[in-house]
Amino acid sequence: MKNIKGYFRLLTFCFITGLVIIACKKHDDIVPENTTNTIKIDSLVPTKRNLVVWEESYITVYAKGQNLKYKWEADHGSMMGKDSTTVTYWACPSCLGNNTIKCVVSNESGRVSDTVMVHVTE
Amino acid sequence: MIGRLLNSLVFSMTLCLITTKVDAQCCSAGNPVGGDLLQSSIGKHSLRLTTQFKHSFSDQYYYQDHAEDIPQIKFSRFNYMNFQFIYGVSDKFNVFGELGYFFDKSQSVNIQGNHLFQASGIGDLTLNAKYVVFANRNKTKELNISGGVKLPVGAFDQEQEGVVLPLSLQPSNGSTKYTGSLYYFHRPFRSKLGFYWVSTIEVNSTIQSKNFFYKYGNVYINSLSGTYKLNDNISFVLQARAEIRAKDKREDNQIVSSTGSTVIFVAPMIQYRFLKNWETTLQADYPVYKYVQGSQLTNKYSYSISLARKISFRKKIEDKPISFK
Repeated sequence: MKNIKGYFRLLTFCFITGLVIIACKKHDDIVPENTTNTIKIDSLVPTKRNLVVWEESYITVYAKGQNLKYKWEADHGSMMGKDSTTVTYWACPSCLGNNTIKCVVSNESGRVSDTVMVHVTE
Repeated sequence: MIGRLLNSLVFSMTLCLITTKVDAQCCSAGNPVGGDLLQSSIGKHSLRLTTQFKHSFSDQYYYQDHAEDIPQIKFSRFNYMNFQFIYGVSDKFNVFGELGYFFDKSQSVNIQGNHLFQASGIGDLTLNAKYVVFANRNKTKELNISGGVKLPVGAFDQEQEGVVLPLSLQPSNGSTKYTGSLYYFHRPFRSKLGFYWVSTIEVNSTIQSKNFFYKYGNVYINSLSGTYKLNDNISFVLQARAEIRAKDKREDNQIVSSTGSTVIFVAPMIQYRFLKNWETTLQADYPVYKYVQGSQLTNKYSYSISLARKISFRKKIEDKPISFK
């Protein structure tokens, strides 16, 4: 009986600890986008919209504003920064299909984003 | 006794929580490299603490079962260190936890020149429980089952030079992973030779973060290991392991091409026990057969070294030397 009580206390402890760990999980920043009029993205232009595997596309953002910072995200595939306003996206074997590239432009007044789609085939 | 047990668990969990906090302040999180090295159970009111370092290196692309030359990708590697604990709540019921840190998780590419993508950060937190279905008095036979979760603690969307790194380089798996395994050990009484068999299934939930919508395929692992006990201090293990990975899925339930594989590894291991309750283990993993769906970067080798210490909370009169298998 004493053992059963002990196990019950232990399981309760583990359960509560687990909940604390899950509750402490860091969440993504939820800073709202498109919150400012002082930044304007004119266009987001890829050199190629249709790629075969291992081909590359340069994607450039044209934006207006002061002290701009850029952040790039792709839902599938890899990119690397070429300079502050251009990235190189290359088509990997595991990213066949439509892939979305997103650019977030920000400064002290807020942030604005735009997306472009790139299609990858074998 | 329960108080001491709770104290030890509180200590271990506190360590986990402290590390989680550091991770949240810093930037990134972990990946799936899970499970205790020794799948055997531990006795009642005993605690085994382990630290393990693992290095993995991949530089060869495969198309199905043969190598192919892809000059764009040079190599991929990681250096990972973890801390594990396993506690014997009773002779039949154990709890296990693991948390690690990727010092370096990187990929070198040759696209417009050489470029190194690099991430680092805390790995995912594993929590599981083990139940001994059967064990004989001499512990020469044991059958146990275990199940648990791997929680994607810490940051996940790491970036470099303003670009979010791809999923494969994020230190965290990014989703909760559920694992279950079955273990059977047998070594005839007073024999130096024995074997153990482990079957494991890993089921991933869907990653739904700001940047990614992705579901890794399930992983099925079967291994058969032969053990040879040279003397009371040194044991050798030779393991053959088959890892089958199902295909991944992306948004709208689309199957991801070039995912899914079958790989057979050979893993020699040497264990050295010293100072009564300490043990160090050196293990290498070498893939001897690879079949991948489509075209994929495959593992070339990995190795790990670990140090374990067993602590018994039983009364001194019950103290027995460590009995690793």
